[in-house]
Amino acid sequence: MSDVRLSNGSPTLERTDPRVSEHPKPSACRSLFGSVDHEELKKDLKGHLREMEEAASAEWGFDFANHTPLANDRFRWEAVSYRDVPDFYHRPPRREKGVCSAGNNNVDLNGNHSCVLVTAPGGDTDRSEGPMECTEQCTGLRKRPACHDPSAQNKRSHTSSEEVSCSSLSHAAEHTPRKTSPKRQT
Amino acid sequence: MEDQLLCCEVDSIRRAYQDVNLLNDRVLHTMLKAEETYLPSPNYFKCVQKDIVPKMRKIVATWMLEVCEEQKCEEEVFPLAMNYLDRFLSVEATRKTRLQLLGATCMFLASKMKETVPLTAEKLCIYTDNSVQPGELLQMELLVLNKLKWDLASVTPHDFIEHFLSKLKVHPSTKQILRKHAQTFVALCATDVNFIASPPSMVAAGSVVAAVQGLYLKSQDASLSSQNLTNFLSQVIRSDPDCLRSCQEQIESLLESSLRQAQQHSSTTETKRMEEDVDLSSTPTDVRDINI
Repeated sequence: MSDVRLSNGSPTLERTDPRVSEHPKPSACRSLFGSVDHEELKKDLKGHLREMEEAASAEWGFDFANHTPLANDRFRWEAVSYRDVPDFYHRPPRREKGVCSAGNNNVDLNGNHSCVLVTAPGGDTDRSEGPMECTEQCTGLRKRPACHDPSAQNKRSHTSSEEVSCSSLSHAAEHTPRKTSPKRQT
Repeated sequence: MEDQLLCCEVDSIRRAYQDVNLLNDRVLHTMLKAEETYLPSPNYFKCVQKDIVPKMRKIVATWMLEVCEEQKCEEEVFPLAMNYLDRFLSVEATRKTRLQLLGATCMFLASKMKETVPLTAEKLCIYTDNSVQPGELLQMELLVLNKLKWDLASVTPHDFIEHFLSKLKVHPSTKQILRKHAQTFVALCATDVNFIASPPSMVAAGSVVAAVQGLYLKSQDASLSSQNLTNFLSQVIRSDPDCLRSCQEQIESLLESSLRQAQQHSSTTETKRMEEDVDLSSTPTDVRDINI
């Protein structure tokens, strides 16, 4: 039996090599459909993101940009201490070694711009080593409104940690929605 | 010594073992039910898109496959990314100058879904010859997520291949080669517009049949003859044998035309080397030819 090779990039039957770190082959780096209209793209994306944020605001009765509840009859929002929610909602992202070596230190392994560190005031367990320390230098992308997309959240709509997941700001307390249903679960 | 061991651990890719408990009919039926919800609209070129034509999808798909190959992505990343791309294009009119940005974003997401060490935005932007910036890609990511309703757990043909192989009585080493061939067919299908509306189970079954055919396994076992296998797998996926047969034929003719194209390319240019490699070397018949 013979080996099947998809290409030189793929080992025989199962890929076992780690990701290649060298620079991509020049032939694979190409612009396919002409130059991108960056200004217009920026404007359009901004528009889309604003629409998404507005839709989420309407859905949840919450002004995500200003972190304040809107007047609405569907949810009642309560502040919850960040200490009362699981730590993955507020701990800083883990950084792997060598991730930042590519030169752009604002982009991490997943391409996320340096996210906001939520070492909340008095946060004791969070380590803050030099390179791990995220800075708040990136502005536009920090608030990711789609975090508030309803469909991403509805599975947890009864937990009390609802909105804290997206409170990437260093607020010690957050608002939490509660359905204004007459029945309270115990 | 210890250092070396440590090095090895860090460098190789770690995968979860295949859970055989998941290869049962209950899971298979759930997948067959679930796959419908992830199908793109079959005629989005006509109904939604104004600027994008089928030929452009082929171009961006070929590029995406090349990037996935070069970055040694897991096999399912490419078909998954194509599923995202088609689903996005099914609902959102997009300019052709932004199609590559969309392709890169879909790879970004698919890689995050399937890989322990995902592709970075930065690297993907390099592959666009820096025609796209990381910031744009990240914003596009949000838009794509929103349009896909944050549902990225699409069922892909890869999910089915393992189930089908587990039902075939072939030697494990043959199975491995069969898997590889079937996966190659799946990737090929993902580049072709004619398979946009085909359910993943159908593409997977067609690919497995085509792989068995290509490897001439039927001579070893009557149950692997084209007809028997087609009948069997069409029952497994609850489809019509004729449907499956025509899907298989479509896959084979796609392979043939890709091969022909590759040969033409090979005589003319060298820039298409990669694509040619993919097409030429991935063919079962071709591999056999080399061996004989």
